[in-house]
Amino acid sequence: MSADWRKRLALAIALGVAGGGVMSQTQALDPLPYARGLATLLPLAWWSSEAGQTVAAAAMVCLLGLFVAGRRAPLAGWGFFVIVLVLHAVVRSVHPDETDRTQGAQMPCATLVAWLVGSALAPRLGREPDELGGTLACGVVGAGYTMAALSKLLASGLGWVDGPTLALMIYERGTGAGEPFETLRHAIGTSPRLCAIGMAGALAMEASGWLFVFRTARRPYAMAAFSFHLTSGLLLGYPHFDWAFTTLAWAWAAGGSRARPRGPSAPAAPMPTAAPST
Amino acid sequence: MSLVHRGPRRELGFEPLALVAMLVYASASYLLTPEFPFTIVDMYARVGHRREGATPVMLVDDGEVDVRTLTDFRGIAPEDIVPGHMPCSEAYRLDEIRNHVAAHMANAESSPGDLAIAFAWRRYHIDASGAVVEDPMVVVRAGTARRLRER
Repeated sequence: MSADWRKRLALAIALGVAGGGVMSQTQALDPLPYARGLATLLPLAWWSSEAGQTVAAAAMVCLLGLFVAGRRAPLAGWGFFVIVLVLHAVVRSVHPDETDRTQGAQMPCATLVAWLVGSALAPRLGREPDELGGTLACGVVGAGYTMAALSKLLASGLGWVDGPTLALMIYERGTGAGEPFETLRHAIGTSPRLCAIGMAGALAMEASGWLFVFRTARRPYAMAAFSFHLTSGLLLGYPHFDWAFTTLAWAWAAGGSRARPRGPSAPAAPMPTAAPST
Repeated sequence: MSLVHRGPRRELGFEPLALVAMLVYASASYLLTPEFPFTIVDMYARVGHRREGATPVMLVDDGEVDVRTLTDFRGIAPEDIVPGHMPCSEAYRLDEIRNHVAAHMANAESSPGDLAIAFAWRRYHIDASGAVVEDPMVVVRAGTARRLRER
């Protein structure tokens, strides 16, 4: 990733959304379940208390601030990752049977780890830390989308392009969603064919995630992915801005083309100078 | 020599190390999921071929309301707010209602709230033409509550 703080800010927003998403899942039911893993570091009730949430949120904000400012960015990045790791263990304790509650946060944090590892390895490989870190992070983004499509196909076959099933899902999620979502979802939910076409496109977009290994494909792909997440949010209530901002952030930081001149380079012709008039 | 200058050549920009990272992360995810930060991203993967659906709702005087606007629940217990045999695909919404009711139960000595409430399921099915059809609502439990701001 470039040293430009604005590019770090884009990723920090994605990480902030991801961290907030994990924290929102730490609310424990009464009676409290049995803590496991890193969640045993402190009493489980503390993590879901107001004090615990405030401390965790403040720590994440501070670390992301340091990350954006570029002051000890790797250390701040690892610190942020450890906090989300602990919060993830709390969520696993509170909802032991629901492993998908923190999946939205996993890809943003995985790209952060990829960037941190790449930055650390770069000097040994003779590469720029930001460049190598960004390259590895983009590989993780590509893996995330490709695996999302693969999981859907393995679990449901072509169920995700079954019009009536999708129409039912969208219609259900309209109920009680408030306006304008209720009207929109109930209207779209009455058209199974439109739902099937839309989801076929979305599935194809996810299955093309491997294109993220190409620099020139990253920005167009990120725009398509952002549209997909926005539409998912509008119709199904699954916005996943953590993924959307992560994809945009890395596409912006490590995307675009590198122009290479055609043929062997020739010395530049001297600029003609006007003869002094006599 | 061509006099036509076609500008700089644009390449696809394939990055082998990005491909390596992609394969390493995907392989590790299949081995280690759901250990953070590895995931095979199987959330929402199981959509099935559903033909029936149900949405949990809280009613006040037979109209749907946001459960977060209510408090002092009496007559409806958190254990009533479970999927049971309903074809519910919105576990998060059910959790939200159950958690809010659990956190805002009325004290035993307080008077009943002034609102007649009910926890119910709105039900749907897909008919032969593929259209969504609403079925009669199923009321699970009735009780009382107050508006949260009146407390």
